[in-house]
Amino acid sequence: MASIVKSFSISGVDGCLVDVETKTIDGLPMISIVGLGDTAVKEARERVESALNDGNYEFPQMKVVINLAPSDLKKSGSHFDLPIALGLLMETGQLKTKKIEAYGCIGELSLNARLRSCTGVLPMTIAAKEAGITNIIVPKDNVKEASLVKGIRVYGFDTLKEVVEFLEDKKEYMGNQEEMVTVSEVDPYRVDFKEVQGQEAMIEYIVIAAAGGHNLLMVGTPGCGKSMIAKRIPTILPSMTEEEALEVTKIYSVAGLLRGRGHLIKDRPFRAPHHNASTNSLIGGGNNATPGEISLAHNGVLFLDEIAEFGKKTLEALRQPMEDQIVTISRVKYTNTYPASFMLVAAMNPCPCGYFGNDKCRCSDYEVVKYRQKISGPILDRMDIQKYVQPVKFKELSSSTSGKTSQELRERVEFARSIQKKRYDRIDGINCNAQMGHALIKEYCQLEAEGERLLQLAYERFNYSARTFHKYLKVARTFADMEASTKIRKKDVAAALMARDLEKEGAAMMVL
Amino acid sequence: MVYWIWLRQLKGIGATIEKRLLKHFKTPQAIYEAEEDALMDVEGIGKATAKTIKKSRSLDKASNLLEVIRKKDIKILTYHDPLYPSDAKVYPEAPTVLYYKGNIRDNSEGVAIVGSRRCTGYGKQVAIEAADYLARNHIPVISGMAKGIDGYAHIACLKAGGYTIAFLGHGLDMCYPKEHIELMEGIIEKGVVISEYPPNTKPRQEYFPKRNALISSWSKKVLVVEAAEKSGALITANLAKAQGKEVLAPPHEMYSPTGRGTNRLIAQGATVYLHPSQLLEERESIQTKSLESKKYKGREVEKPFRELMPIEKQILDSFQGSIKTIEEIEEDTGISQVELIEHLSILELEGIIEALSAGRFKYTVPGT
Repeated sequence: MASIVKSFSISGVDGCLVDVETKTIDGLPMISIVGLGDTAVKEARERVESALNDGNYEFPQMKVVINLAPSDLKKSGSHFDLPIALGLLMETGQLKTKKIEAYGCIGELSLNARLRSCTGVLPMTIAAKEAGITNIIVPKDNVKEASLVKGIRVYGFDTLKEVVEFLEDKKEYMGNQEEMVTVSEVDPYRVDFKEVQGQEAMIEYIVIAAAGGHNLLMVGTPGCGKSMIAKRIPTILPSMTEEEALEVTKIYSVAGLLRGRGHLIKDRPFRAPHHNASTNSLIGGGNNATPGEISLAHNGVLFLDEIAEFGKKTLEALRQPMEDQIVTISRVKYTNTYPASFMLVAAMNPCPCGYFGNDKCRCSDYEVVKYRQKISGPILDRMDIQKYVQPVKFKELSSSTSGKTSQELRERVEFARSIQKKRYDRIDGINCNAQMGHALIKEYCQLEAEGERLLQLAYERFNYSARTFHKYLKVARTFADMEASTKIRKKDVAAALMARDLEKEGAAMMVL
Repeated sequence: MVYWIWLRQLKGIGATIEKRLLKHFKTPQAIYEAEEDALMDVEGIGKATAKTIKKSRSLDKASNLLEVIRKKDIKILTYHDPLYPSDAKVYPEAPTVLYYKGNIRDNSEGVAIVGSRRCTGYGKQVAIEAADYLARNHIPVISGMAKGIDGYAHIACLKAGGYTIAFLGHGLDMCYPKEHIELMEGIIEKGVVISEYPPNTKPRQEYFPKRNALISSWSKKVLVVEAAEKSGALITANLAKAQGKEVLAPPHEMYSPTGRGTNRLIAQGATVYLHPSQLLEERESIQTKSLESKKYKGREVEKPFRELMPIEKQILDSFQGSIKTIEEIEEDTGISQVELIEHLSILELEGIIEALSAGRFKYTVPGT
């Protein structure tokens, strides 16, 4: 009978149970691993053989077949080394244990039979728990990550020998050493909005964007503080719930970005890819269809600095994930789905020379329009707030008064979010104002008479399309939420109407 | 028609001789059929020239060209066409054949607006205001469809529903600069693009002065908005002066390199341009009139009159005729930006203040 060791495989951001079956058959010495493993899996044979030798175990001089079941599921990664080694030892009688059934095993082996950490431990541990497995054996370095899952016992080991001895009950498990990490409440972002001088109006719109989950486009001359502001946006976003944090950590675990960190990611991610980024690096893909920047920014901020310099194709690829909040990467051999619910913050110059509106700008309107057209209509359309950032005056730079702190701003954001949470409690897939569809806008964006009159005036004067009209309503809704008003007031409409500088400018351009 | 083109294609014969021939023989066909002796009766035509004319008595090339022109939807304006403005004929070098796309209307002489390609915001404003004013007064706006001032003049004219003429320095089957392709289509639809060059002629530096001459010859007045020390706009101005047309130029700052050419024009006797109405009136009458008394208002917005709130008054007072950003208004009034957002938005919606590009605002005190 074949020996079976339980392990796991990753598909997308989720793990699934894999049985590693090992069987020795009479025949010429050889080892074959079947079950659609990738190169890393196939190479396990070399590592395992060396590790067994090093640990003074005997490598069977027979034909060995190792099957990773279910056999029709693609598997990748080096974490099958440990289960394969254990399976071999059991099959050849060098390891006698009855408790293996209650354990899941993951870990990469070094040639010296040590256990190396691997990626995707968190989702695999979750999968173990869901499959009813009560214990999991992981490399020591991954203990912290695996321990994030409650309700499963985690055993961390350094070498193959330790694992074998533990399974044979020759040695007691020493227990996980609680590392006394003094998690002092240091600001993880190390930046604060109070460092931004002036820009009060801009910050007000940023608070609105954060509160309503609106995408944001900042336009301004070089050096006016766009990037500085963007870096501080995560500091005012409401803190993540346990569930959200786990989602983010899972993605980072799968992407292999968790090594060393090993703890739950509690801060909202802030990703700022350079504009040279390829479509695949942004959306996800490449080898094994790993998550891209948009998934790494899940529940956080994706900041595209100099958005006009991004490849057109790359930007267009953002459209669908922005709408669906998930991204499905399809390749001939596999399909992975990753979550991608992020707030898009973009920054750009207003014209090729960067000084539009300034005396030294000599860009013709055609050039300006052409430059701005690099960002297509549909993308621009998804930016609810498009504001100019004014360059900071020397007077403000040198003044000692500081603006509002991130803490103060975050409290306002959380307040508005709590109102939205209550409002959208019953509705699936909607958490904030920015995600409202037409029907919801009709239901929730009730205007006071004064506000309606103002909007009517704007509608007639600027010939807004119905779509633009809805954008303003959504932003106005957030403004009203900031002050817990059930109806949208005149001042909310007035403020919302100032949220889209670029659109107004486009109409005034001297082009045909 | 084919004879006209044949005449134009003759080597070694310029517009002046062509016109003398036309005067003598009445029609190009007669020139084509004339014998050497008869040709030599015309002043300025010697034996050699007469021989060349005789030798090139073949319509192949001309009819081929005509074929191309018809295919490309290009029309031909001959010297004898009633639509050829008589004022333009005064210019001795006026071509006997012009190619055009669009519609030439009666009374097509207008006012030329020319200037530099890399223009400043000031130049842009002057060009747009002037073109808009002319369009509203049904005067054709004439220019060269180049980037910058030329382009703004055409666009502003078209946007105001006016008639505009663009003279090009290349064949009409292409567009230079390329990004003006939409503009060219717009002009063809509502006005006309004219060139003395047959299709397939690529733009070359030496063609542009001739085009500039056409611009000035079709215009009653030439407004040079902005010109650096050496520029095509100055060539147009000098040609216009030579043709006896009035040249106008707005004053620029003394040290501004972009306005050095126009300032010099003023020094040399060009009219100082201070108001678009100068583009309509006779030269003399302007000096007698007080220019301060009338200010061109542009597109007038119906302002709903209402009682302003004290805070709004305070905001408006802070402008003092200049252009301001929200931060500057905050500095001057002491009202926080967050509070200003609402008021500025309402004031702008009601047309009391104007939102300019790059987040700036402008307030013009009514009645000034």
